[in-house]
Amino acid sequence: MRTKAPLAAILASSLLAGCSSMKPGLGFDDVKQSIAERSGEQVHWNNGTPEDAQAKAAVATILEGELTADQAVQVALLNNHELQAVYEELNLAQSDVVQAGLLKNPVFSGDFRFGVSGVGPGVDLGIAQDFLSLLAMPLKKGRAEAAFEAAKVRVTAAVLDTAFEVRTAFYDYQAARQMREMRETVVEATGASYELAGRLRDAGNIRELDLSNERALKEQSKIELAAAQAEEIHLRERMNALMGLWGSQTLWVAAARLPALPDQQPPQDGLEAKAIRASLDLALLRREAEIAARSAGMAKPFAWLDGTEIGAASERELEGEWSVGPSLAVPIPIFDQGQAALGAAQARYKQAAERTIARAVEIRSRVRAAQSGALSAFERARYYEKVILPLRQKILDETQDQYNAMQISGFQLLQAKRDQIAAGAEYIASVHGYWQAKSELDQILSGRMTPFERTTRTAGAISTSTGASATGEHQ
Amino acid sequence: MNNNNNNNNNNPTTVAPRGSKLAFSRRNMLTAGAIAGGALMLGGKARAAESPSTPPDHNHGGAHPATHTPRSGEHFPPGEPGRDYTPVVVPNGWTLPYRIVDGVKVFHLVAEDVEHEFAPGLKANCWGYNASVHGPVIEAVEGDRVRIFVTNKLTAPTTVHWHGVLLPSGMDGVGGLTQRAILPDETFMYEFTLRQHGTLMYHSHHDEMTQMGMGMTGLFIIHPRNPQDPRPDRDFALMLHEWKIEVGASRPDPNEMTDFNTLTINAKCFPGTQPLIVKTGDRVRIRIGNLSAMDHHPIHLHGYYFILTETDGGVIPESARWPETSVLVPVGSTRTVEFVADNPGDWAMHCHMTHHVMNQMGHGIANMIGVQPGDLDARIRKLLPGYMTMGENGMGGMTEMGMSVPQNSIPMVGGVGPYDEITMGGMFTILKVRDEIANLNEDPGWYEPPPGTMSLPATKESLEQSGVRADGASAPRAPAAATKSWILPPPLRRAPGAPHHHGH
Repeated sequence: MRTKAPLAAILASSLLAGCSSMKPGLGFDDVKQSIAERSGEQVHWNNGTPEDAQAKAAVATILEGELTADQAVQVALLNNHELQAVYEELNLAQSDVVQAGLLKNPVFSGDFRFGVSGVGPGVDLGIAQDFLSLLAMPLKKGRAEAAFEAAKVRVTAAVLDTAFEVRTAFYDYQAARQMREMRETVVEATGASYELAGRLRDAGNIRELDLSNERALKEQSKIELAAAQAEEIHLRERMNALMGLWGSQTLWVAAARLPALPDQQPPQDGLEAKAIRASLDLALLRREAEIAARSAGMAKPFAWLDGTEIGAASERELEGEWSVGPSLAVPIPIFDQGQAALGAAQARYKQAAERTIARAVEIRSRVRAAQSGALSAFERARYYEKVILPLRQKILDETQDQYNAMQISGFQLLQAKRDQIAAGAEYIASVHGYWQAKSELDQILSGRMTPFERTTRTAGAISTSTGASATGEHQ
Repeated sequence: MNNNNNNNNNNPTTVAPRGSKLAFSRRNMLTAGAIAGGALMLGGKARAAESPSTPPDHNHGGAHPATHTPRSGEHFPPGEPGRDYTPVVVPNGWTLPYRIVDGVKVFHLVAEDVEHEFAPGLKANCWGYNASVHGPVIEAVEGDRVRIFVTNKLTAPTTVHWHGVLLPSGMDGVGGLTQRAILPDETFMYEFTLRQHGTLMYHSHHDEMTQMGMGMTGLFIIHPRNPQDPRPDRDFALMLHEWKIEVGASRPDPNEMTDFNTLTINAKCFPGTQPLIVKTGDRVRIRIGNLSAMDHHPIHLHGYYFILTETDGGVIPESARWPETSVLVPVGSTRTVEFVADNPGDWAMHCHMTHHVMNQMGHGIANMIGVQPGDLDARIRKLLPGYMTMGENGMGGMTEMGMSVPQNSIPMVGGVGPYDEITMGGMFTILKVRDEIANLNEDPGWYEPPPGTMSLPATKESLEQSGVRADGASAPRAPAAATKSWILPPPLRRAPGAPHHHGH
């Protein structure tokens, strides 16, 4: 059959165009490497391999110890199924690449004619292949591959975003836990104060009013403790969701304290260039620009050719021989000369280019904001550590001395303790603020921007009030 | 007519001055004479002036008003210690030396900042004179001409007022009224003749509240040229004062109006007060001045009664003197008491206002009396490792705890006694009377009572012998009738003439 020749050529060309089959998980190695370079975390995509079990075991091992922020992030990256869902984006993008490498299936056509006026019946057989798909295949493939690269960037970004969310949520949780402990101490202090008042009342030395005031203080502090407990539980559940934990795995224990402040200030030099280099947002926009450019490039030569088909037709008259000949169907570019598609592609390219610049400006601004935020949070926390807390301790010691000298009452001494606890709470908030701000900075340096609103509220918004002062009526 | 010299006739108990001759000046006589014959001329018959070398004794008898005419320029040769008077003893203090220049006693006071120790452990930055708080005692003799230079080395202007001294108005030292203030680094000169004797004082009279509150006071003692009473063997000079020094602070707060927490005798609070040391049989005089800001002080002496012999107005006629055991020394006054120290021992002498025998009493403290801390201390110590309940049995025992206290502060009470803690502070000192004593300037140590003259725990035998049970059960109890409150009788059923109520 002569028809074989052109079909074979078509099939050959499609094979030349590249792979035509899916390889699940393709591209994830790049993501993995990128994550490792940017944040040092390990990621794993459950694809039914033996490594799946290893990842599970790693999670279980981490959960046995006291969790740090890094470990919590690691658990989430291995165990968060939302992320696993995100990884499928890679397969989806890959499928586009594969799709782009496939020719459109040829169209077989046949006509049978029956003679009605002495002419015998005839047969027309034809096979037609979308011509453009053949010509445009490399271009389409290029676009799909660019989209695939973009998908890798997006997945990497999603991983980093999750890591950031987990890290900051973990700090939130640790801070809330410390706040709860602090409130427990306040309850102890107000309880002791109330009990002391009770002893004085038993001895007949103070009024019922004084006792009631002390009790009000204690009850108030218990309410505040309950609120702190609720907040802690709430934030712990957020961690469970982020780390993908349920059942007995939710019994994890976190390190009791926020990490200590480092000795050094957060880095300050060369951050803008570093952030620009690392930015996944920019990488993504560059990919988008590339895709747009490729689309534009594709639009130009082929826009009006869309619909062109080449093919072969064979015909046999009823009485006669088969005749074979090529067929060609070409749109006549009278109306659609591809100008619209070209314009759109060019506009998209320009859009992507402009957005790239805008985003770069924004990143530079955000880096500076994050850097100064981290620095001021660091200085604030260090000031608490070096000045405020020692001062509060000194005040408490001196108050104790005044108490020892019988100058002030035990109530005033316990009040001084509560004041010290309040300063401790502010310190916790300041350390929390620092780690939040530091996470912001690290995040932008690892290539991801965080919402601006978030940056502005990282300075530790946890309430630190420890209840009103004692009334002092019986001091 | 000589109203100046009729003094002794008014006082039947005083003996005639030893070897002294009374004198009068012409001017004095004339001045006195101008009002002689009036109601003020209380004295008996006049005594003629017999010697030009001694001044009249204004302080005896009732002729004071007639003699209050200070003069200048006329005086007697400077009185000498030992010969003319027995110098006072100033516990914790000193007497200001003088020089004699052309027959005038020249003193020099320097008002200045002084870091003063109130008791071991408590110092404060005060204002005083000549490196001491209070100022040194100025001691002179009736008839002396004194010239007192006052140099102001403070940053504030000041003056010195000679409290109770009879002198020309322009020498009275009242800032603004009798002179302009002495500015920093200026030196003023006061000069006058002493026309009286007695226990007087000096103090700043410029911004008094501040400057006296900071310590600028002193005693001004004028001995009689011709003593009427026997000379004392021991003549003590004490100045009372009160201060506010926050616990841990080191500056008196002169703005304080009521809550004084440092009560001093010669600017020392117990246990920083130097005891008064005398020999059994000594005739003891104690002169007490009070320039506290706001409080009079009833000074109580144990073991004796004493006779109040003088105020800052002069000698009290013997017929008007009375015995007592506590002498109230009002603010701005002096009192002089005398007794014969015939009862050996260690005798407390103190202000009897109980808050005045406390050091740095904190009035912000809760009343802890009778509180049962139970396990509460252990609970609070979880928060405050240094906590312990205090004061449930009062203020005693404070010195024994060894707890950390504010720097530069002293316990409210507590001096180490021979047997136990002395739960006193503030205006408290000890009169030590000893049969044998080698050096009156050295503390003879604690008194050791002869056997059988000291309270000891009751022995079983003595309890039994007296039919007393140690658990107190044998002691009489107050009968119910003795302690019950009075109950008023019910109202009259119908008061006479009262209108009817409620339709009865």
